[in-house]
Amino acid sequence: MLNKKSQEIVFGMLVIFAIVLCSVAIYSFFTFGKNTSANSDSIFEASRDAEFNKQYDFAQTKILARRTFSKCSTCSSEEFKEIFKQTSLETENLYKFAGAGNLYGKIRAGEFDVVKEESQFRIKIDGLFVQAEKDFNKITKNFDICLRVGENSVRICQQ
Amino acid sequence: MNRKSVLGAGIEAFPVLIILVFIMALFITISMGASVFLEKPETKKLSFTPVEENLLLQTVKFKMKDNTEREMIVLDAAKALMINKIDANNFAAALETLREGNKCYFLGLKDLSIQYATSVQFGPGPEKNLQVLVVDNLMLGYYYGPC
Repeated sequence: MLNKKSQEIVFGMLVIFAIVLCSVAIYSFFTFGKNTSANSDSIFEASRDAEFNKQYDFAQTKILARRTFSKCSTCSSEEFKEIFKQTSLETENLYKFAGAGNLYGKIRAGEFDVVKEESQFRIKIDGLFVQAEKDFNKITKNFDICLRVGENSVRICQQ
Repeated sequence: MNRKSVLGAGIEAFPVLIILVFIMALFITISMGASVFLEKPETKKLSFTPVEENLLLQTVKFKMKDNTEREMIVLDAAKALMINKIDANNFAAALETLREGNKCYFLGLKDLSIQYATSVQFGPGPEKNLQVLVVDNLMLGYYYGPC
């Protein structure tokens, strides 16, 4: 009699336990699906913005290189570097783009190399980064820029 | 009803628990499968498409207000426009050189805050070529291209 009663109690508890477990699993399944969708959206947007900022840095460095070359195509490496810094500072003061990362800071601090190669200059800026944030997601992209600027041409050079 | 009998009954009922868990797993699998097949793929709304982003990063020569010509990224030129360094018509004329085929774009300068990068948006615009959109004396943007 006692065993029968015990069996009923345990069986009842198991059923309740299974129902609770099942409900929790279903609830977490549906809410989990929604969360990942929202998260992937914001990760996607942050990633896209970071890539945009990186491309901006490349485009801006190309312009700065071209402008500097037009001012002093016959300069020495040191002179070229100085003019490049001034040109960058002028652009930074007027049109600083918040997403440009540490590009302007690196140039301002002179943390880049300029090497004269015959009629061309090789500009190398290492340790650049850009960041993009969306909701709780933050993406940082690290990269280097190496450009070779000459008469009528600015090309990305091999590192 | 002592502890031993409850424990014994628990051991006896263990296969039942296994069956219940199995049914639960089956139910969840069916639900997952149904949701995958029945749910429509979510469409993503983007403020910039890759083409539009490329447009913002294009380098164009803009005629400045001091009559000099300056090579600039469109994004920076938009900032220059906002700080009155470029005439609105010259700005629009320079953008016109970027237009591909018969595409029509809208360049909106919605927000004058520091984060101007996210405030500049291209999108399909209505009617006419190179129209300046002005609302309450505040220039909001341009339409350009045959829309």
